[in-house]
Amino acid sequence: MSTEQVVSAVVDREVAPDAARPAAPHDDGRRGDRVGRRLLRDPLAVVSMAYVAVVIVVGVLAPVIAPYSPDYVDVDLANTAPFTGDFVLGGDSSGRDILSRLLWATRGTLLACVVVLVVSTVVGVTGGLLAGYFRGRTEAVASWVADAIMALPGIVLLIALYTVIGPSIPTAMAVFGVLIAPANYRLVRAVVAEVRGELYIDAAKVSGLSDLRIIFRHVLTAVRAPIIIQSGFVLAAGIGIQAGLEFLGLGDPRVPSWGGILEQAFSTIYLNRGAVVAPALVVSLTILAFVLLGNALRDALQGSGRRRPATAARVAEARAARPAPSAAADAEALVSVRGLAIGYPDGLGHVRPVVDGVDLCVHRGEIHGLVGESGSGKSQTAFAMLGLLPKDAVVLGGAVLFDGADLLADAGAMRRARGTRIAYVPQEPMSNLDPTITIGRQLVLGLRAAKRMSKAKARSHLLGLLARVGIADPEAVFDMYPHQISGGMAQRVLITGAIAGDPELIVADEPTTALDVTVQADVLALLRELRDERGLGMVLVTHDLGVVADICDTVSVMRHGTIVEHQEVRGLFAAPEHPYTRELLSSALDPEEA
Amino acid sequence: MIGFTLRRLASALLLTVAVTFVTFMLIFSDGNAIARATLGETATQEAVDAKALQLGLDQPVLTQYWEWVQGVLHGSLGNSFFTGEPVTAMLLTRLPVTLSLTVIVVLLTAVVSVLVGTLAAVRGGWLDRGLQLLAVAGAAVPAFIVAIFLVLTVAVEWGLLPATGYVPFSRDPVEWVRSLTLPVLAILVGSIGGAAQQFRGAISEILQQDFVRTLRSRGIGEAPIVFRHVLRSAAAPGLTILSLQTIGMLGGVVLIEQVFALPGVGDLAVEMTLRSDIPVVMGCVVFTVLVVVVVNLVADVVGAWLNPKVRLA
Amino acid sequence: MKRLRSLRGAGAAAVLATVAAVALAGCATQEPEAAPAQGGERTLTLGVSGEPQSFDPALQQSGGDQRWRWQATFDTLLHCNEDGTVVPQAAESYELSKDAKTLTMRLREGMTFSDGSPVDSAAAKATIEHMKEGGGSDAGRVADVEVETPDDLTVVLKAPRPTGQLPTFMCLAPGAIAQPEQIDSGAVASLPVSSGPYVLDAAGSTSGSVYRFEKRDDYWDADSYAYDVVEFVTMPEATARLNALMSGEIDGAVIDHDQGAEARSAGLHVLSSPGTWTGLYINDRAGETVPALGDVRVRRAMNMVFDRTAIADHLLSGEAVPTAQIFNPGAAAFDPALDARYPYDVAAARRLMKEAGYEDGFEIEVPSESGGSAVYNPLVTQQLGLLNIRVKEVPLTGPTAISDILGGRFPVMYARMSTSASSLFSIVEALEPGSIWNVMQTEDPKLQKLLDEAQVARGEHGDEVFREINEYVVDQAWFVPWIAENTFFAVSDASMVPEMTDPFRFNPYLRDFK
Repeated sequence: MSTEQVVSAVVDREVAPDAARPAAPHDDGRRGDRVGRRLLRDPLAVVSMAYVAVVIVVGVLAPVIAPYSPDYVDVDLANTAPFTGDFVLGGDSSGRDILSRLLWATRGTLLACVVVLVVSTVVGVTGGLLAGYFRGRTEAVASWVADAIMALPGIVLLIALYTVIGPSIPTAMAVFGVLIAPANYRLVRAVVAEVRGELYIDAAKVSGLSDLRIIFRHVLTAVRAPIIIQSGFVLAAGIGIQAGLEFLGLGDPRVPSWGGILEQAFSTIYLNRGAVVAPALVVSLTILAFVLLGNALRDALQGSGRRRPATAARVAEARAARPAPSAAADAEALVSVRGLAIGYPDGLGHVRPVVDGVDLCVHRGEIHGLVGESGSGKSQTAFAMLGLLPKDAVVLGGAVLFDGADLLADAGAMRRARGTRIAYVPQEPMSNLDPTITIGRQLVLGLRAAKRMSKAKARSHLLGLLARVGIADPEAVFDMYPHQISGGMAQRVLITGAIAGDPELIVADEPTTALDVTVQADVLALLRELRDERGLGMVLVTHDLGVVADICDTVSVMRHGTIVEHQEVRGLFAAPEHPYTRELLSSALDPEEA
Repeated sequence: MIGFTLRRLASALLLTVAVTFVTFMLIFSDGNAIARATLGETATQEAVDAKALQLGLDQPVLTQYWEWVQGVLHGSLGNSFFTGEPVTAMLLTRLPVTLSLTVIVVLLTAVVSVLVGTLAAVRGGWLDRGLQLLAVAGAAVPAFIVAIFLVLTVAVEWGLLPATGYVPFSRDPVEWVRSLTLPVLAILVGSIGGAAQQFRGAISEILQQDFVRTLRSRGIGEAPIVFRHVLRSAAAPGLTILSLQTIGMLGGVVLIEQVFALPGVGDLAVEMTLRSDIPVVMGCVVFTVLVVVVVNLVADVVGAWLNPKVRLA
Repeated sequence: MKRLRSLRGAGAAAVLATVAAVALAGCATQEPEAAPAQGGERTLTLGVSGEPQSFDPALQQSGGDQRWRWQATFDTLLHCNEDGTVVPQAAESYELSKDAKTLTMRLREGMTFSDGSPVDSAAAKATIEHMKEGGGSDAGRVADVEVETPDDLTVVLKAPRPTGQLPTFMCLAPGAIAQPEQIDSGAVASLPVSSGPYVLDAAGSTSGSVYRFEKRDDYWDADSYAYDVVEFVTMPEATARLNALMSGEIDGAVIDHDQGAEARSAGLHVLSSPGTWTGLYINDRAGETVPALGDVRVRRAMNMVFDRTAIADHLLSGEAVPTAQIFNPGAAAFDPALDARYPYDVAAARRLMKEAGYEDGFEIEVPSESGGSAVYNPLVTQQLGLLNIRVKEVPLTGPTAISDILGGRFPVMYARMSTSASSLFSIVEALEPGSIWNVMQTEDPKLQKLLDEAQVARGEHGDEVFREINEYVVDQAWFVPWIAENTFFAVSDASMVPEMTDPFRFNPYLRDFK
């Protein structure tokens, strides 16, 4: 494994920082147990740990278990193929037993591993801690040094080292440890920088702990897991480099080494082709074991990873357990949700329902509020109506009836309806626009996907719409990128995108939550106007009762995946029927409610 | 954008200086011994001393480094201690070999890893799992060991392709391809696995983003979403991934050149380091650093350019 | 694959095939006329194992396949046959004085360089003197030789001591003839004007990789050379050469011993004959640093703990014959009976050690570098260990390696030395106190007498002297030879080289290619 692989393990983090969040520093002793158990459940982890254990045992017991001394020469058995004579894995070109040498060479490998690990960890962690904690100039200098080290031509330096001090693998491995320390450095620095912002650090500072103590007590704890994970990859890289150096002939010829055995075998490959297999395999398998171990540690320590998906049996069970949908659909309704039930795998093979039998009707021109706290299932219901549920969602039952078709059951109908007849207005304006394309182009692409029309026609249509939603200079905005406009304008753009296809139903998921208070009112007013103009039906998902009071006609209150109350707006506020609704209302009157 | 580029250039320059300095310090050893080595065993002590003087080996290390830097600033990398050939000329003969290998690998890696990574991220299932396995296996086994296995099977056992040696394109294009096939394959195994896996990660990440869901809600199909939108966003991280792979590959190329007896720059570096032919080694180092710097620079600058936030800043 | 390390370079220099047939056989017969070149341009492509240096004649080596390049460019005064005899070349006749101190050569008339200037005694003198000063590895051969040119076509070499090899040297690098003006200007290093059968085509060459030579029709012996164009392709790796041979990219090249079978099964024709001896040098035979080694019984004991047959059959896969001598089986000094002198008998060896009072053994250091000694050192350590001789391996690194070895740091060391059909060559190289491979400059009065005589002895008497020297050396166990290894030269077709006339059995002369 080359340096690049070690680094790419780190890049994984940097490129996808969210995908591998560091374990939160709630470190109690019990974590160890959980980690251990998780590791043991993972077959690859078990195999690789077993292999590493074997390697260590072999290294320690080599003198006892090797059939011959590594220096024993039997000229008659030189260049013999594996499995043909007394030398089980064949004889090398000097007449020595390859198997014995491989076993003995394990010691050198283990020593080299330890050296690389210690040096790279100490150097990388120290640097990362200092840089991440103190930031500023320290970080700038340290990062620059790390970059410089990574740019150094490793092999050339190690060879140069060899000409200066002779064959000393431990020294070379120490130097190599420094060369790959930047990987650890980056990792640690990122983690530390993140953790440093945590409240409890400030609390510790306030309570008078010195910087150093803070670093060692708290920050190191956070860094433990990523470093342990990284160790697997560092060891793998170390073995690879060691084998590589020895293969170049820079190892100590007096000491058996895997790479050295490989080199000798390869140079006489025509005479004894079988001889290369064993050393090559040993090196490969050992590196593989460490990499797998690193991966397994990552899965175990950071929680993500192999969650057991819901089995088909469980899903069928869950589906069968559902009651039949009640009440017939309202034929006049624009969209009718009947007995909708959606679940997610709980990581242990079962399905946990998040929407547990929801009935909902929306008529033309009706703004239907869907209210609830977070976790109530309201957003899931909205996404189900749009066919935008995440990949791992399991539909447990129910139907979404729209214009005679069950969109849930008929994927084709869903696709046809989406964008053209049912549109979506998202919550967070900035993250819902493609940052790499101009606004105009996005809108045009979206419109042309829904309706066949020429670019020019689409453009003029959209410009008109942008003006309609209250954007002052539509043409200028058309050519801008999302990052160049404000949140309020972005939300108006998204609304434009939603209505451009001339839909009949709009599903809006908390459309004003992310906006400034002053803009909120404007956007809500806009939505009302659009409904008035076009006779749209709207499902407005929100947790904000103020929004409900402002523009909704009817309200459904959701709690734990079911609708607990459905009323006209005025009726709900005046005389809530369900105790939960009453709770909601009373807390809403509290100034604290946001 | 200009400011960004300039800052990157300055950093690159500083890096080059630092790396060459460290390398020079490390590889310099006993000047007299080097002089003797160039002349051979029968040379008299006077001849050795004269040679040491001629090569400037009697001067302190720092002075020698400074002289070398001055030479570089005037466009000359000096001459080999052993053959007297200009280093630049030696590098130029070796360059096509290393470049052929590197460029082909990078191109193939880019194309294949984008395809495979995207497919794996979008489709999931067995393709995704297979890719993960390949990435792990490929990352695990060092390229030179893959190379040995390839030589053992394809070249020695089956005799399909030459085990070692390089044939320049100008001499015989077909043989050029044949002589590069195994070396390229050896590096590709690890390179594609790693890059595809990371690219898959990047694509996955992007697919989870809000704007993708919104695009879907507009009725845009999966394919246009992936090609027109997702890949655009993935271009910048993709470049970073590729640049890191390329730089990481450089070390492996040296070993590959040894295994396959390709007369490239890496091979030259190894030979010359062992002989302490300092000017040549420094030339190779400069080459390596230049590659690192250029690759980083290009990736950074292009990546930044692709990001409208930076481009228009 | 393994590269020739800097030390291997020394080894290659050791494989410094130096000729030296001394049998002052007097005037030898002319080379038989080669078949005339066929119509249409014929190109010969050869793989060369060495890194090319400059064309400066002073820097050229007398051994290895790098000889081709300078032998194509420069004519030599004399020529050595495969049995070591020296025959005329650029000089149409020569005479070595009875005291072996003066060599008189008479050049042919009308020879020219490729630019038309005359190949005359002035050119020969200039080149030889340049060789003396030029700092090359062959300079030592003519270091104290004086050159006189009584007239345009006569060259006289005067050596202060009896030097039976003077004619031989004139077949090697010191005997090359380059143009004096080019030597002065230094142009000879890169764009040499040719006195030999071919001239460098700089435009068609790529420095460091391919060198193209075109035949000179105005060369006095052009008919002996069958090919119009010769290309040398630099391929330091033996496996690369083998592959190139198998794919037809090159027509001929030197290959390693472990590739012989592979080459033959691929349909190549392999010329193979004993060309080196492999074993141990006991440098410290005088016992300066390791007194024990000064005792001949110890040295004999060391000769008896190696199973030569096993080494030949297994370590060398049968591409060698066991031997206890440092001479080529084809050389006059060789005596088959001597090979039986030291049977493989550990018990007897131990008795000798006990007799000498070294039952408890002693310690020695040996050099170790990968590819060469590193392969044999384990055997050496084990076997000498049976005599309680504790062997400590010292890895060699960096540029100090050569000087360490040649400086006599190691009392015992692995060696693989090229042998020649010329006995005197091997004798001088290994045994003369001043020679580089007598690293500790051992002097032995009895041997010296024989050595001195060898310089002047000719014919039958000379052969006797050589055999006496050989016997003395074997009896005194100055070395521990194990095997005579074959060298291998592969060509694509047997008809290309019907006969290899190189006295070193290493690579054919250019004229051998038909």
